[in-house]
Formats: sequence, C-alpha cells, structure tokens
Amino acid sequence: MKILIKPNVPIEDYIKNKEIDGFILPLEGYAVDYEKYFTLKDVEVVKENTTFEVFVVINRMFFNKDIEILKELLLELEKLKVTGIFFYDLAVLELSKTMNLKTPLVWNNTHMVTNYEVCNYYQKKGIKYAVLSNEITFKEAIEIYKNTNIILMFPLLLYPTVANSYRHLVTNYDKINHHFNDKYLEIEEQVTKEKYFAFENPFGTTFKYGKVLNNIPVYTKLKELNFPYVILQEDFIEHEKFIKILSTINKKDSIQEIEKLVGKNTGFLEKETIYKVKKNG
Amino acid sequence: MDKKIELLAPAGDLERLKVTLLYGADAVYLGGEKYGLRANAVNFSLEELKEGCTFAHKLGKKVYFTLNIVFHNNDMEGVYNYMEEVVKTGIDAFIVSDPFIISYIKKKYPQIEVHLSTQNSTTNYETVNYFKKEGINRIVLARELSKKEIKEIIDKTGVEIEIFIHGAMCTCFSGRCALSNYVTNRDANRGGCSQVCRFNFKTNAEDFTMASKDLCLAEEIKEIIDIKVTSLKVEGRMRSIYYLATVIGSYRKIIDAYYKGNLTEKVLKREKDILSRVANRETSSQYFNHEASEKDQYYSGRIEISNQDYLGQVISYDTNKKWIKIYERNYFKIGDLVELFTPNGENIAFTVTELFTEEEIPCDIARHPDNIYYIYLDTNIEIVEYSMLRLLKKKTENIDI
Repeated sequence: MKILIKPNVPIEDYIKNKEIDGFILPLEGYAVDYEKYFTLKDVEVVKENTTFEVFVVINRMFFNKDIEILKELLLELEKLKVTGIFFYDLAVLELSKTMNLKTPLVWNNTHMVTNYEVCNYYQKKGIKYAVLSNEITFKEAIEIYKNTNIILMFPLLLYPTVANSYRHLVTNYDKINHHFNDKYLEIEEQVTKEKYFAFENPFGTTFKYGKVLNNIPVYTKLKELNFPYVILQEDFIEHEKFIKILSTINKKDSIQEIEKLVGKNTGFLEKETIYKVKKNG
Repeated sequence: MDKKIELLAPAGDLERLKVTLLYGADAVYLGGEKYGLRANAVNFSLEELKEGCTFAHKLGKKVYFTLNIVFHNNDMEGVYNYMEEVVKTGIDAFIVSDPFIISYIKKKYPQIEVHLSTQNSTTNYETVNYFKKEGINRIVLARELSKKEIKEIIDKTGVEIEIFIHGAMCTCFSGRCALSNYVTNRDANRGGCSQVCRFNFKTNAEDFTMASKDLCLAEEIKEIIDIKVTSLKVEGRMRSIYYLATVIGSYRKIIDAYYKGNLTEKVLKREKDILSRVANRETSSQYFNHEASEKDQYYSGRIEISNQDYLGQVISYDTNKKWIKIYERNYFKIGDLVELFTPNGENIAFTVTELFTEEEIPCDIARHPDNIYYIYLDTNIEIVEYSMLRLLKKKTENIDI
C-alpha cells in the first residue's frame, strides 16, 4: 500500500522521508479546498529531483472562460509526465479524450465517490484512479474496493472538506462586519457546538470540519487488504506534528500515538448517514 | 419558429401535480418513494405516479421523475426493478445524477429521456459535451452561471438546457456540499439535506448565517427565451399549493405575454408584485446578471417572513345564489379587498360584502382556518376546481389590479 501526502511546506523537507511514496500537489489557480498550493515550476522541480509519484490537483469548477487555459495546462502536464491528475469537473475528462492525452486521471469528486458502479463506469471511461469520499463507511469503502478495478485512494488523515461555494463568503462577511479581519472564519453550530472553518481562494469558499479526520485505526486493515493508496494531508496541521504522524504510522502504537496528536474523530467510518427522517403519509 | 419554452413545476404530491399543471406548467418534476433528492417530501407511490402521468398526458403535458441521488452501494439494491415499475407508469424522463445509470436507461428504455440533474453542477460547455456523448437529452445547469455563460453553452453544444428561474438557492455548489451530513448526519446527496446553510451559527460571539436570498428571474424571462433555453424550472417540491399556483400562474402569464408580443412593463410589474407577495425571503437574480455578492445573502440570523395572504381554496360556485364556497386558510372579514384567481388565468378582485358560515349563517369575520365559508360574488367567469382566494390587503395599498 502506497502513502501519498499533500505537503504544506517545501517538498525538500520530505525528499528523504522513507514512509511516503508520493505527493499530491494542488496547482495554484486550478485547485480549491487546500491551504497551500504549488506552481507548475514546483512540480517540475519535484519531478526532476525525486523518484516519488507526483499527482497534481485541478479540482475546481471550470467555467467557459477557463476552457482554453485548461487545455494549455493539460498539455503542460502531459509534458511533465505527472503520475496523475486529480480532477472534479468532467471538462477535464472530456478534454483529455478529445486532445488524446495520456496522463492518467484521478476521479476526485469529493462527496460523490460513494459506490462501485460509478467507479466501474469511470474506469470504463478511461479513468485510472478514484479518491473515495470521506462520507462513506469503512464497510462501504471495502465493498467498493472488492467490486471495482479502478485504483482506489483512501482518505486516511486530513481535515475533511465539508462544502465548496462559488460565493466569497468570508469577504462578504468582512464587508458587513468591518471589525472582522481574518483569513479564516471559524463558525460554531449552535445545537451540536461543533466548529467548522471557512476560507477563500479566488474561486470561492471552502468549509472544513474543525476536527482532523483520523482513520489511522483502519490503516493496518487496509494494508492487509492490499489497498492501493492512502492519503494524508498536512493542511492546517502543524508541520512538526505531521512529521511525527508520518514517522509513527508504521509503528506498533501508532493508533494511540496519533490520537494523542490529532484526536480520535473517525468521521463516518462507522457511522452511516441517514436521509429519510419520517414516513410517507 | 422556435419551440415555445417549457415551464417546469415541482410536484411534491398528486395534488401539487394537478394544481401546477392546471395553473400553466408544461411539465412537472417529482420523486418516488426512493432515490430522489427530496426524501422527506410526501412523494409519489407507483399508483399515484400512474394517475399523475395520465392526468398530465391528457393535458398534453409531461412528467419527469427524479432518480438523482448519489448512490451508496446499498441504495443500488432493487433500483433496476424499481425503474422498471416507474417506466410502466408512463413517465417521460428520468432526472439523474449518478452517471452509471445514464447508459442503462438509454439502452433499456430508449423511449425515455434522460436529464442530468443540477446536482452535478455543470458549469461549462466541455462538461456538457461529455454528457451529450453519453446520450443525455437535457442538462439542468448549475445555478452559478451568468446569462452569457448559459448562452455560450447553448450555442456551442446544441444540448437542451434547463435552468432554475425561481425559488430557494443553495449557498454552495449543488453536490459539492456535505454540510448536512456533518451537522445533522443527514445525507445531502441522498435526499436528506437539512438546509444547514440556513442554520444559525456563531462566530466571534455574533450570529452568523450564510443563507442565500431566493432566486427570481421574472424580469429576465424575455432574455432567457431569446438565448434559447429549453426549460424554466421552478424550485419547491415541498411548497404549498397556494405558493405553487401563484408562482406558476405568474410565470405562465409572463411567458404567454412574451410570445403574444404584449409583455409590457405593466404586465411584468403586476406579476412581479404577485410573486413578491408569496415570497418568504428577499429575492435576487443571483448569478444571472452579476457575481453573487454580499447583497445576495443573509449574514445574521434566519430571515423568513410568514405569509398570510392565502385566504382559502375555492370548492365550488353556486350560480343561483352567487356564492363561492371556500375552504378557509387565513382570517379575513367583510370589507377586505380580495382576489379570486383561477387556473385559467382569470383574476377577479372584489370587496367582501356578504359572508356566511357553513351553516349559511351571516357573519362578519372568517376566523376559523379549515372551516367552510360562503362569500357573495356576482360573476360570469367560470370558477373551476383549484381556484383560490387571496387577500389584497388594504385598499390604500398601491396595488395595480
């Protein structure tokens, strides 16, 4: 099983790290939902100086005006021979087909990678990888894994993305509350008292859950099942803490040690969502 | 001449289906007991669906069935058998979200159209091209698009395009929001959305919401028709029949006036006034004319206005006594200026001069909701089933009737 990390500091800090197999690098101007982004030049440097797998992320919604620059970007990435491209908008798949590009694609549809039929559908469309949604149970994840040939990536440790809006909600809030002057807007839901935080980039606003999703308790099981990839994201986690997590992950007491660092929120791993709250009538 | 634009209404149940079609919708969209994104609406049993399709088809209208959840493994159990039963009821199209189901429908039921749900947030022509090749007949575009972007998509792809024109807006991209999952454990992409974006949060000890104002594109209908949009969608499967009758009736009049060449400022103003009276939030054109700004949303507290204009549903009209029989919903009294409106588009404004209880005893006030009352009205206009009565408030108000 391979470990991919989304770093938050210069890649050089990870070059000698033996725990990891590759990087996920969200591209500035083309990705959303991350704290830190990378340039094509950064990607080029990593490709030239390491043997790690290098995935890039272009997961924002694209609009008509973006299509030409998206085409140019895809050609650049083809030249760079990145391992794969994480994408959300199907314009990426359509352009990849019509431009006859060979760079493997990673279906990264955030909350929608939730069943094996759709994974099989996209595999038949030529997509090589898929990132499972954070909002499914471990049982569902394993069932998908057993029923698809698409290469799956499992979100192991990260601050989960809860929502993405085209609206500039932090800036707008700042406009009406002049005393507010922060990059991050922390909000607390009044019934559950759970915290979330919002932040912007030029393409809108992302909401993150206020607790780290720590799926380390199933790490060993995933390894036993020979699950292809797991993902850890450094965003919003202190660098030293993240390094400690990586150095602990394959040790005997990793579950307890990592819980001490980031808590024990396993999200929907063992908790099914509901969608019907009353009977018809 | 181009085909007339379609007015598409929400139908949360059989009564809403009938009301919206009678008030001028060309088609309705609705959900069954499974697999739709409004799991907590009443929705349709297969028998009701069949009755609804028969009703619609007799009027030359269509029924679109939502099968637009984002499936989890367990949800797939029985879906193909269920689709078989749904097809037998006579529906005209499936609205889908999860793409694995598109090719299945195209192959198995070539007579049924497939529409791509707005849950997929389609925002550009290349994504439309992708689904065009998959055999999609129509795409419901993301609500985040401008007029220019919508036009360009239509011009470049030729695919039938449906856009939302009226009703509640999501704060986030449809499909790209799991706020409901995290806050209430209700799955937004499987019909359980608890509208967390309208919840009250706290930040720095202050109230905070991120709720959007509602969408209203009444003023833009002419432009929307001109850029060759195929279908105009109204949001609100869980809205009241009064709301739906009013909104659908108003848009019907705007659209018909446009095609007849008499969509004057006066007509538009009147219909916009009517629409504003059933709104429970402020409205804006959202992304259609500009990038959504701080003016298109609420930031502190949940702001919703309850509406008491709906006085009741007309049950019948006694042409001898000149009495309309109504099922009362809100308080009114003698002297009030009211308006009776019918599915045929007739509006009769009048002052209540005589009022009687169900026992035909004269009274001054209709104060008991869910009771029957009679009102005197001398008219030759045909008062058909599902006619309704609304309050025009005080005579001093500047209402153009």
